[in-house]
Amino acid sequence: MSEQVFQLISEVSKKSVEELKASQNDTGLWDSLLHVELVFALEAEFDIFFSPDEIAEIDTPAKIVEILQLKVA
Amino acid sequence: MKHDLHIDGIAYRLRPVTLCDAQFIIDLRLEDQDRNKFINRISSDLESQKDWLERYFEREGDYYFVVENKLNGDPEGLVGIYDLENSKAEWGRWVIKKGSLATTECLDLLFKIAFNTLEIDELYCRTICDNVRVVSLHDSLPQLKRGVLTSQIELNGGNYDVVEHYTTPKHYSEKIERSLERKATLIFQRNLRSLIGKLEFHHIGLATSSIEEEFKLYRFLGYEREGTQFEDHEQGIKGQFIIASGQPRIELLENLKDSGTLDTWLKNRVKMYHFAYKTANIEEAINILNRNRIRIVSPLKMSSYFKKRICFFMLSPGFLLELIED
Repeated sequence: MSEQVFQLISEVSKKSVEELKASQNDTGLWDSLLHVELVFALEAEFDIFFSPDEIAEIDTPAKIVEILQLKVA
Repeated sequence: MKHDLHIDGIAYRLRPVTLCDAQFIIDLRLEDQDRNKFINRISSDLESQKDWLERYFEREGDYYFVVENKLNGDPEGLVGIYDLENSKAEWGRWVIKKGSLATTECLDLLFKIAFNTLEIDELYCRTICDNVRVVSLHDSLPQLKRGVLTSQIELNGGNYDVVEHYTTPKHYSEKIERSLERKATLIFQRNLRSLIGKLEFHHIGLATSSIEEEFKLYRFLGYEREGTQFEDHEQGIKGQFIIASGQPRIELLENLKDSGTLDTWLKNRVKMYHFAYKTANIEEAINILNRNRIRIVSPLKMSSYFKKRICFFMLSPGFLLELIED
């Protein structure tokens, strides 16, 4: 799943997978407009629905992977 | 200033800030420590915020808005247009609640108010250069970029360089508007789904003077009966659902003897008169439509066909929206 998530973030944020992996705990890798697009892309890809708290929480690649692992499991 | 500018989008609206919003402003602006590095620090004291608002009400050329979710009425953000001079104004004081999806439509409504209502020729904004995420947002919108202005902002005791972006009415309509509107529609559908679950299209309702005569014509298009004809004495109609592969389900309807339920449409030669959707949470769907000033024309009642509750709303003059409990 982790690879799939990094690939998807890469497509939305236009940053390379390598760059995202190197800064997977950093916030600020995408702006709030891209954040909305990322929410849509993740929900469609994994057939899930994020709560407002989760939308606020998924601000780094690592947190996205962590929350998805809980939701999709 | 005390203004009365309102604008409704599909998912959000902008309405004037009032004194009652003082606590919301404090809570929102103090919500995120990271973000607070780049906005003016404010006190958590309610009276100080009210004083600030009282002074703002007296200031000309200053329009401060609350971004409100149209579906549930909750405030989710703040934004302002100010320093209006020579048909140019700055926009800012922009804060959106964490976890809210209001960003996109807030921007669209802001530009619409600026260019269509206030008829401003240029709306600019200044962002501290170190606020990389917000600078990137303005770049990607895309707004036009004027460049870097040095030591332009004094914030919490320090002086900062800023990037100035700007938008004109032409640039907005050609490069920004369609993209923001499209995204706002997607966000609305998602917000709706989060409140009432899936809203699933069910059928189109057609008013006929004879179900059987009309059905003969629809057979040319591949339609066949779904179930048998039914009568609903409470609604004063009889009906027949018909279906065809790859085409929408249709409900053919006819007045019962001595009933005038469909007369308005038949008299005006309007055949297609309602869309019907299934929803798991019909009460909440009714609340949402009421809050959005969509008038209920037939309250919840039991459908003799579905054996579930249904209701009708006037979506636009002469056209109804039917909700069916799922």
